[in-house]
Amino acid sequence: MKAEKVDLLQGTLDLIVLKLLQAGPANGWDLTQAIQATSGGALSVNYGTLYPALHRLEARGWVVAKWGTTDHNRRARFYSLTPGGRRRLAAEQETWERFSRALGLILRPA
Amino acid sequence: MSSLAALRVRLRSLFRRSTVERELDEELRDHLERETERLVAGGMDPGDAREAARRRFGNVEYLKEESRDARGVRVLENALRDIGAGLRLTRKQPGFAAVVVLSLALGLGATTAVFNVTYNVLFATLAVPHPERLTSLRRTHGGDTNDRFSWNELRALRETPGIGVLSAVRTASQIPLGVGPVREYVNMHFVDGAFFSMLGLRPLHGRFISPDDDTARATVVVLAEWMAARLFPGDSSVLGRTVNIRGVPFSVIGVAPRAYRGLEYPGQFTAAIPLSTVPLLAGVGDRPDDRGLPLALVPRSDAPAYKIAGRLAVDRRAAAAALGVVFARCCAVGPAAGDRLQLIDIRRGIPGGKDDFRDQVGMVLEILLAGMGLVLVVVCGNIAGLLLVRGASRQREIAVRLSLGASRGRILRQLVWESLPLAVVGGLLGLFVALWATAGLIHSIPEWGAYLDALRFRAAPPVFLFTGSVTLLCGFAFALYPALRATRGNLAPTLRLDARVSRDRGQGAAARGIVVAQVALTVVLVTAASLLAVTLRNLARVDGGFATEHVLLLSLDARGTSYEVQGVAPLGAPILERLRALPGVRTAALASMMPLFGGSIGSVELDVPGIAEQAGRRPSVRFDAVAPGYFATLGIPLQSGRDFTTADAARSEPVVIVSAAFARHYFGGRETLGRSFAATLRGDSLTAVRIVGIAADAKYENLRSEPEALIYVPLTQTSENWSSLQIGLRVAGEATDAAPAVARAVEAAAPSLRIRRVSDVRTLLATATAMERLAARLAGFASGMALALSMMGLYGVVAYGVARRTRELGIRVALGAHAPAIVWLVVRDLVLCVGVGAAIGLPLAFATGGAIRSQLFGVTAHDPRVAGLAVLLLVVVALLAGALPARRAVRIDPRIALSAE
Repeated sequence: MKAEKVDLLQGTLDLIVLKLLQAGPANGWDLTQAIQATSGGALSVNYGTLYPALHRLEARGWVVAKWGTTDHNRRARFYSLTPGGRRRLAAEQETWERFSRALGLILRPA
Repeated sequence: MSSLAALRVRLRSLFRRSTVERELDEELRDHLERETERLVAGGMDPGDAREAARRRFGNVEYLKEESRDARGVRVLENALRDIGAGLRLTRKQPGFAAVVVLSLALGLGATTAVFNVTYNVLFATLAVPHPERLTSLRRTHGGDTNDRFSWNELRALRETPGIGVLSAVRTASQIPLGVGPVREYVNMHFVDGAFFSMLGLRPLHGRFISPDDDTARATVVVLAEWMAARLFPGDSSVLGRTVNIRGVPFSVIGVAPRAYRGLEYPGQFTAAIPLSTVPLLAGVGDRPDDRGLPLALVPRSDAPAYKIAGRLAVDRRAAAAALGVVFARCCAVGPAAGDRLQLIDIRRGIPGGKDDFRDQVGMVLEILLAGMGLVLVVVCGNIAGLLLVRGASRQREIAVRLSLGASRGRILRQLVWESLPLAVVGGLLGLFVALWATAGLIHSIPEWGAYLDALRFRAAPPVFLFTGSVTLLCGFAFALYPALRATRGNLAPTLRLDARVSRDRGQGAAARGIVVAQVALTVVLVTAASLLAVTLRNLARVDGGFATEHVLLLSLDARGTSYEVQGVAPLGAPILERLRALPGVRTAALASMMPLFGGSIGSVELDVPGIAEQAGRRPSVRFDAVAPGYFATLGIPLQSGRDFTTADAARSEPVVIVSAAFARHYFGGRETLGRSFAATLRGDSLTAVRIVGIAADAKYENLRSEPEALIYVPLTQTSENWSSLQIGLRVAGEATDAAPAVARAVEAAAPSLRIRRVSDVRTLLATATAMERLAARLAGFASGMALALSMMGLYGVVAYGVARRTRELGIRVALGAHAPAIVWLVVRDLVLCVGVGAAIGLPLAFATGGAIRSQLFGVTAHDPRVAGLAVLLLVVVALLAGALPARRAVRIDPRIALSAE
């Protein structure tokens, strides 16, 4: 087991999901693989928590879900961003960047 | 948890599946399968891979809960599912369901009925838009108040800018109104053209009286719906029809909606005609009589004859300030200097009328409502106790689900929702009970008969809101506590079969706590009920000072009849003569008023030697103008002196008979007979009168009243001609049986004279204590219910204890324990519950008794007999509750008990 795994900060999973969906529709499993791959395996995501997050985003109207077939001919639920979801992503991203810049400023002198 | 499949089977058994649910399952399964495949592709053993995928995934049940949460509609979905589960559970436990539903229905029904009457009596507002803007004007001078204004004053006040609309109203009772042979004597409104638009009412049919009608002196009338139906039965179009009002034809222009009941409380709107038509009604017999009739019509413009009602455009305080300034300038001058103007809030009707019974019954209703509230608390407590026991039996199911990851909140909600159907069914049944109970309530108070329409159970939004919210509150209250307990604490012991005892002990304590509270509240209710019952008994034993049997009373009225001018007095002799000739009539007498029956009430000012004026005023007492034979007929004993005779005529020496209380008060026990004093018996000037007799005290107002200083004067020596007089008859048989013959005799003597009321003393006595009887009955019902529920609770505690300790008891019996020791062991809890409950309840009961002191008569909260009765009843209830389980405990067969489990 790698020692370097980082737990997700509260509330960041939504941002990650929205960001990943920006590239196009994806199903739950795709998303877990994408998180794993793009973060270089550094993020410890309990895969299960992804689904409640997706349903939460769906209930808020930021993503929509459709049943479709995967490359391997499996039935799966595909999630895609709504216009509201895009706006939300922009807002969240901006908030996050401001937050991380500020945190960086605080941490640098030490 | 051997496998995912097994887990899913369990989940299926717990949750009904829906499409969404299936999709969620499919999605999660898909993920796990693909993850497993990926791991297998990476070279992992398939079994390990499945395990790893699941580990990586997290708690499936928890995640499903989360997903359901995220979907938002979940709360409703779950609620429906839980309600369904609750209904299925109910089918399995019909006894439990029956107790819950019935006790709730009775408790809610009684509470709703009392609330309904309370609401209609105390809180219902006038059925007009924005009743809070309505006001009526009143002038005060020192302690005196008066609601009449002159035309000049009204005109000046109306000029006040920006305050809204003021409208003039006069009312008169006993105005004859008829169509053909139908003749009614009604309350008539005389309104100006602004009145109806000021109210903001819409006519049911036709139109209301307009300013043009008023200026044109149009002979038009607006009828109440019920009056229109009575005058023109079966006729749907009454508009344009003609009705006869005091001999003048008026044409019907509109019908007022049923909901409008006039501005007075309690009101009965009948008919309205333009104020300007009053002079047309003035007949020959009109005198300047302030009682409204005959219409002292066309008052001088400076005579106070009008009531002013208005709709304010600004808030009441601002309007009062503005009007106050105008009033001080225009009206509070000359003899009226120092008068102040008040704006009364009349959203609940003009208060303080002679029929306004709100002050009288308000407190009783509030007490009853509080009592019903306590019953509901006891009902909820009882149900909570039952649910606790049921919760205990479901402990393992709940623990299993909690350990599988279902959140506590979810299970809590499930337990609460499961109980909801019972609450709702109880509430609906309660509405029916309320319907029936309300009818019982309002019919038990004879005086309310005239206002049945207003008091009847109506689906008024506030009543529904009340029942609905109380039902839900009860549903949650009785379900939440057991649910909290059931889902609390450490799961491990519960999952093990052998360690039930420790948890049971907790449940038992909670159940006992509820029972103690029930017992305490029961003590309060039983005490209050016995106080009210004793009050009723004491009132029934009160000696009113008059005969209670064989006395028939009639009220004769000349107003609106051909005898209006001469009055009833001249008819007295011929009527009495015919009545005395009737078989079965022993004596007959006339009087202006009679005990409990009322009549024409008048008072005179006195100048008694040795009694000083108080605050510049002469003392005043009420008088009863009576014919010879009155005292014998009513059964009021003469303590000394003589009755009036025919020799006490108009021109002979003025004489009086005084009540014993009068003699005590004004002559302080000294020789009273034969002494003289002066009274304003003829107009405003004092006339010297000589006391020829002293009558024992009789209660004229009600049975609680103190003996009244009252004087009796001969009818012949009063200056009035009496538009109304009362007849009393002493008959041989049942008083009411004589009524028809008496009515015929009166008609024969004076063909068109009205008999307004007929009653007998026994009925009057029953009427006089109607409110007390109602209170005692309802309190009796409440305490009976509380006792029954407490018994059930106590039985539950003991029975539960016996069931839980069967093994232990079996061992004790096997070791040779005697029956008394066994019984003590099982009833110890019972004794404890009753003891603690009574210890808490008795001080509360004393406090309650103190709070309702003003309603009690001849008994106090601290009466040891009352508290004793409550304790005695509790002991009886406890014995009944404990007997069966104790018997069961004593009969435990050690062989069976020890081999169980």
